[in-house]
Amino acid sequence: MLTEKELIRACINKDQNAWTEFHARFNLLITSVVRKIFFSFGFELSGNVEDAVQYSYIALVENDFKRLRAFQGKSKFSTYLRVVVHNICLDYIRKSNPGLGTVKVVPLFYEPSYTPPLIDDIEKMEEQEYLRKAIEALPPQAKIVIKLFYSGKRMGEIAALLHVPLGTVESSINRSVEKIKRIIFKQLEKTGIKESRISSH
Amino acid sequence: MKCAETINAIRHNRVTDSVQRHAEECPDCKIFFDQHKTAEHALLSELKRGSSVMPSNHCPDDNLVAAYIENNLAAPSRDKIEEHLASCDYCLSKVNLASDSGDIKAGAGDVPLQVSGLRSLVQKNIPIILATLAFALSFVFPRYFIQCVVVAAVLGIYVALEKSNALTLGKIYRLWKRGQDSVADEHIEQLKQRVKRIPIPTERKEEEKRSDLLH
Repeated sequence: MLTEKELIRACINKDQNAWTEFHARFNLLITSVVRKIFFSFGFELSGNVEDAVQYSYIALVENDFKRLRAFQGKSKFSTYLRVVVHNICLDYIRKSNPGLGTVKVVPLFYEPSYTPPLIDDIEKMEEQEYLRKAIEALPPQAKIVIKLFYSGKRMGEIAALLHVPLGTVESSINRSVEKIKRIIFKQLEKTGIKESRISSH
Repeated sequence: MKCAETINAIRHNRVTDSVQRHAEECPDCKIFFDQHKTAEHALLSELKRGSSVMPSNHCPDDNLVAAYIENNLAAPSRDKIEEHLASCDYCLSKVNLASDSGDIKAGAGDVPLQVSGLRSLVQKNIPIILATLAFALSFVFPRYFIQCVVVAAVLGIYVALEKSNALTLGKIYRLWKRGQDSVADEHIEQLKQRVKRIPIPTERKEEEKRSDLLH
């Protein structure tokens, strides 16, 4: 049984058996990463997945195995491969949709089902950019947590992803939402838009 | 349902029917619910507006990102990467989708699952086993021969239709009837079509809007 590094070296040396082994070891991984990416960007799970997997293999080989040679061994190869396949797959999505130059690839955010009152006024106020400033002022980790949380990740998954305890994630989300809430209602009072059913205590 | 539970559920984004019912009845919880949702709304619309997944020159090397995912980095470079992740959606998506938690493996479709043991084999083939059993029973009880055969036939048809291979077989048969050359041509044409365009939901919507405006 070859180690990962030996296997990659053999693959770069164009060893046919090594490529068979590579395929056997990593094909499921590549397919699952591609599938996950298509799913999270809202593309239909159809034959495109297979095409993207094929495209990934070609991209791994091209430029004299540039992507395989770039592996430095700072992590497991499988993790590195996931990252590389992610890049390749987004590249594939962009290439196969020439119109995307103007339409950006945007990850899916969770859609709120409930529209609270006063939302129109708040959207008007957003032009003042105060909200953007508030979000930018959040600490980097809190921002990451919020983005992941509202794109549908569970708190446990986020904690595992960032290698922090679950409590940190929970309090981070709560603190950020509270902060935004305070800022919004302060602004609402300032602009004089106030309604009894939504006013703060 | 108590107020404390409701507020906790709202904070954790676990708004079930009972939570919603309580929030509508209790004025204090209603205020909290509305405020929380307003804040979420504002936050989301702001996040959505700013997000696009494009690589930039400042993005860290893939090796570093992989090391970050595995938590192999020292604190200073970790913080540096997190600072970058907070502002770069491309790299955040990398970390999010390249980590091995929550992989879509079997649930989403045709990635073959490894069958291990007799038990899972039996579980997978319950309809076939039942069909065989029904057919065998038709010989044991000659009185209910027709009933048993009908059950076996229904189960058999179900098994045949359930396999996606049946559809493929049907397609191949139809094409075969038309002539063998067209099979290859059609397949190639289909592949070309598929490579050419992946349907984009957002783009489609825009096109629809545009055509609506025209009409």
